[in-house]
Amino acid sequence: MQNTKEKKSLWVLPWRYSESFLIAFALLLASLGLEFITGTKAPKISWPANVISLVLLANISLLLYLLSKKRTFFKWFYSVPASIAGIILFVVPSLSMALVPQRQTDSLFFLFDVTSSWTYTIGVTFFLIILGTVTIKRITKLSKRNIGFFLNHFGLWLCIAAAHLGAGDIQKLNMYLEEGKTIWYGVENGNSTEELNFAIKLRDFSIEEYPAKIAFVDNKTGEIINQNNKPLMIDPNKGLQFNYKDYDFKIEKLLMSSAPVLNRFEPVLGMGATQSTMITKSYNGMVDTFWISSPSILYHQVMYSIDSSTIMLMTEPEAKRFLSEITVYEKAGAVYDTIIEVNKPIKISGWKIYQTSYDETMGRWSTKSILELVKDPWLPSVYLGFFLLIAGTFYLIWTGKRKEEV
Amino acid sequence: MWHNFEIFAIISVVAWILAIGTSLSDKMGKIANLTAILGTLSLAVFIVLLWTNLHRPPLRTLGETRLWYSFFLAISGYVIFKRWKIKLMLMYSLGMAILFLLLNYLNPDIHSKTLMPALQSIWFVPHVIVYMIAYALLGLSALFGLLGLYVIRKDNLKEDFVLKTDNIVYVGFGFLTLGLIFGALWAKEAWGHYWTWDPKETWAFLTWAVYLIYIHFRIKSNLSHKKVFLILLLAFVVLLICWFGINYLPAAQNSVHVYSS
Repeated sequence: MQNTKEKKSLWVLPWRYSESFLIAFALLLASLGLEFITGTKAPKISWPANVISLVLLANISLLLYLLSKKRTFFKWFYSVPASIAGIILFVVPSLSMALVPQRQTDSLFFLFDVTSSWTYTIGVTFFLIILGTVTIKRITKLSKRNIGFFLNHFGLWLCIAAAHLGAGDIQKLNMYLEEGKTIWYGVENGNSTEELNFAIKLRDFSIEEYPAKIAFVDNKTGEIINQNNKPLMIDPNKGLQFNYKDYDFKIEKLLMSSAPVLNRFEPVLGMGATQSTMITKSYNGMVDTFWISSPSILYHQVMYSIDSSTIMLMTEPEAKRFLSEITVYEKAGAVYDTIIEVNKPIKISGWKIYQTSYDETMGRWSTKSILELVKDPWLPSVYLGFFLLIAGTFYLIWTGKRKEEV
Repeated sequence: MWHNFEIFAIISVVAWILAIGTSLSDKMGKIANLTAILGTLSLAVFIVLLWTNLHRPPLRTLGETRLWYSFFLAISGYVIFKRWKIKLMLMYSLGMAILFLLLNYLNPDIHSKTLMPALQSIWFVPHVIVYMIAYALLGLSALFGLLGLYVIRKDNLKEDFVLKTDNIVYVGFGFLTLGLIFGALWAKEAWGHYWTWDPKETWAFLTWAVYLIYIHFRIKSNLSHKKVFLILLLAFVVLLICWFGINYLPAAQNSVHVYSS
């Protein structure tokens, strides 16, 4: 493709890349100026201001499109250079977030608290106006080949708009449960409480663990020994035989829940019970039988010195599931038992409820469980945007790029 | 299971080297096909065995993701080779696949560590696999970019070549978009919100945005091809930062994506 167009002066219509980038740059400076002059964050909006803003945003795009029929100038708003300027204005604040650790701050929001800054707000707003105008322009010529375009552009517009405007309406509460107690309120931001139209009784909180591993540890450094560049760890199974240096080992017993009794371990279920293994070591015809165990809140970890430089022990088991078994009492009268665990939130009267924490000092013996309750009324709109975008993406993957677009 | 890695890796590496070598000759095309498939199968068998052995998808550590990266690079390289007959792409993708296996061998980030509960989700496999496909395709597009810059110097760049590059970017970008959305849907289930500007999310968004800029620059653009390819390479650099450079960035210290403890 040869560039046959003559070089045109700046700001002569139609605007192309130079003008678009200058506009993006000017908006960026303006937003920084706004932050320095006002010294404030961009306002956080919630119902009903966010719905009004959404309608306003859509109407600005519609107006720009309609004006473009009258005046060439407005065609810029759905031009490719304007689109790229829009993406860049969204990207620049994101780059701040990508490089600078974010925190609560009283100044320099554009660096440390980007999502509250004017830079970010103006960037997203400009991006949405351009994206909206582009979408409206194409939707007026709805054809088969425009379907993919519409799905991608409108899908993106919907999820970005709904996610940002809806952020102010998200409600988050914590519920601090204790075994046997019935709680009917949530705590907001650590202080104010809000009464709920349901109550939850924690019947049992528990952590399921993976089997602990047997590890060989260097006596001096306390680090797990590497062999062939791999940490020397073994998944214990009853009857498993393995060797280290000239020693042969065999796992005789494996207890998932046990406690020390004299110099051995016995199966118990009570608090502080730990995993333990009975192993025999054979070396030059000499046989030694010993126990090792995982650390526990109640008992010392039992280790075994293989020789002067090496210790054998059981690692701290890793958690497999955190779960709260609860009874729910709804105001309407329904009473039922259910389970909440990580990655498996439940829904009760408009709230999505997550397992978030427990009493970490007690580990699997915790009798407390902390739940998070989230209400996000804009979620369906965001998800609709996601699914339109997914559909559009399949279209994109299927068709690739058409030749006439080059 | 990892102690058997060397055996499978050697079969893959040897087969792929053979495929690269024989693909240069038109007469040995069959051998190239067979060895490319054999090497990929060997790795596939290892992944399946590892998966069964670990009782979880091997997708959590850098070492494990490298296996998938090799695997999908080999597959996408082979498919593109079959469709467009570009030998260099087969060589590049198999070469990269070999490199990742070697990295695993020389610097094994190998924990037989188990999955933490937040990672136990139906979104895990689709999320990571679409990213692996996207990264493989975009890696290939970066090579097209390099090749393009080279061809421009020789002054015989064909428009077809640029269109091919664009198509690879389109398909790769499609998978990238799916990866972002699957990640968001998963985050909602695991952490209560679909987007929190976690450092990995931020870099994933930046990567996505730079490719989006590339795609838009290529529409009816009179931008020189040289600039276009440079943007493509820049996009790949951002992708690399997102993929593993992020572990070294100060902003990423609290990321939920920093797996190693």
